[in-house]
Amino acid sequence: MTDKVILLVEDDPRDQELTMRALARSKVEGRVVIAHDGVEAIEYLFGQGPHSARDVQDLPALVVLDLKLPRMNGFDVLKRIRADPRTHLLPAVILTSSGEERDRLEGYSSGANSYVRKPLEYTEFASAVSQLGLYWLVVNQPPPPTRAGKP
Amino acid sequence: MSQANPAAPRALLERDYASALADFVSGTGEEALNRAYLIGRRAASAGIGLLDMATLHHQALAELPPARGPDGARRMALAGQFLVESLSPFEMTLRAHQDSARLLGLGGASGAQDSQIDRAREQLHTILDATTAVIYLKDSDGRYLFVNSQFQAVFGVRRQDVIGRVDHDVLPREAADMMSAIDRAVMEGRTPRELEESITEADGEHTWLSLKFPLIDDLGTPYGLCCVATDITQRKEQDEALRRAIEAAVVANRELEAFSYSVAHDLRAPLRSIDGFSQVLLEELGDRLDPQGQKYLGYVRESAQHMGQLIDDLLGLARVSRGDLHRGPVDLSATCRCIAERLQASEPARLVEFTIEDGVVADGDERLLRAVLENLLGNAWKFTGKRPLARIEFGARPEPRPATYFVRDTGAGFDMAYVDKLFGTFQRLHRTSEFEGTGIGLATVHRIVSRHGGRVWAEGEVDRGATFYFTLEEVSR
Repeated sequence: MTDKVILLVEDDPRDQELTMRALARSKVEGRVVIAHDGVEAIEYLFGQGPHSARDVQDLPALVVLDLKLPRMNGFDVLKRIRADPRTHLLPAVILTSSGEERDRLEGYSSGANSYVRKPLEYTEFASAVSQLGLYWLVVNQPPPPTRAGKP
Repeated sequence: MSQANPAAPRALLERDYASALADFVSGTGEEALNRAYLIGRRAASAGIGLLDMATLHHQALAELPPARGPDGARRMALAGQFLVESLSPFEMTLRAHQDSARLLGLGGASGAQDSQIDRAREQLHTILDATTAVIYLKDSDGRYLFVNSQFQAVFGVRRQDVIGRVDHDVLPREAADMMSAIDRAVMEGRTPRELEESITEADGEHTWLSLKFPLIDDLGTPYGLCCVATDITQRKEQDEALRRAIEAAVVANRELEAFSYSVAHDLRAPLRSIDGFSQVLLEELGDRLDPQGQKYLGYVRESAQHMGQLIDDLLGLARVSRGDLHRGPVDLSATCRCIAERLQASEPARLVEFTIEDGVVADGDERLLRAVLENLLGNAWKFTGKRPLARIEFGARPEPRPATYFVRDTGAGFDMAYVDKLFGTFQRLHRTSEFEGTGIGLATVHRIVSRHGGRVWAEGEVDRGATFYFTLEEVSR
């Protein structure tokens, strides 16, 4: 239980790198765990598959979700998070290329705490990512921990 | 006339007849005679024949208490009068039959001396034969009274082989079964019916839209049926083609939407990498690049960002083209003020005087009209950028209808020689080095105004500003 974890669900290695870089340059104290698609994210959160040894009580401080992902998309990951009593309060934000109205609508309807469109220009992108990190890990007060079976 | 005699009305009629006859011969006079006429009328409309009526009379007469001598003779005379009266409706029906038959030239026997009727008949025949519709008349037993030329052509029969015969003598069994069943139903139902019928002809299957209606005389008795059928095969094919075209357009539209959607996601991602890693290079290896190398990397970033802007603008253009128009009153003045404030806030140092006419309200889709004004005012703001002091004006001319709205500026203007290119996608009249832009803004304006049933045009002069006008279709409420 040392540093806070950001679960970054992102399939594009270049976007992963740019995001990690932006977080590293900001004053956010945290460790980034990467899930390469929706299924990996679920396995990590609920201690399944390769993550079966993980303590599922130890939730990340923030989930950053891309929408278009292989196997299971961001909306479905979000719905799974919200449907489970262990994770239903977990802060989750969408970070995506899409600014489409229907994606924003479905994002918030699926239970996103925030929706950020990835700016194309790098300095704006870096600033958006570091602001996200700062806000959710430093400024924001997290929800109290929930125990399994006792939501 | 012999078919369809339900037993109940018949029995009722018998009783009525007997009691009315008894009344009349016992001397109740005029009133009872009226009843005879009414009974006759009812009998005629129920399809009861003349012979049946005679039988009815005979039975009723037999039921009367016996009378002899002068009483008996008087009673026979009265009974005769009663019978004549009860038959008079049949006479009128018969006359109606004869008239219509004479007009169509079916009866033959009478009418030849009446030249007016002859002329009318001729005209009617000419008309009926000239039309492309199939027209026929049948009597209440389903026998053809008349067929027009088109009937002969479609069914490959001669008129003289059809008249007086029934469907089963003339047509293939299946067609005859179907046609006579429908025709009987129309006659019995006494109401017109419109239906589509498929008929196989020499050149393939044809669809006919048939209007069938019973022929009813003044007394309400059906004495036949008329059918007017129009070949709608071509119209059906056109409808089908249209339906398929609409379906294809819907599919294409859906595909286009899916396409725009993946463009939004997938085309932007590599651009972010190009821009991002160029910046990373500049930050981390900048000291190892000479100024020219740094400048080139700057170009790479600018190009990536420009392409990003193009993609966003194209998506915007696609977005204004799809979806329904949600029409309602839109306060254009308020929208302009809001946009002007935002433009001023984006470059607080610029001196631009906005003149926005108050209370201009138009009918349209709020989101789309806002996009029109954002583009026009945005352009005005952009092209006055090199002026130390500029003026941007919004206003409306309500007359002539529909109202004309305009956005005027004192900016760079344009050469009227190129005015046609103004509203095309990716068309630009200025070099990017002078004024930024993707050439999609005015195409978007054009698309939105067109969707509102309006028109957009522009006037300008190099270095003396430009005015953009647009109208919107006025929807009456």
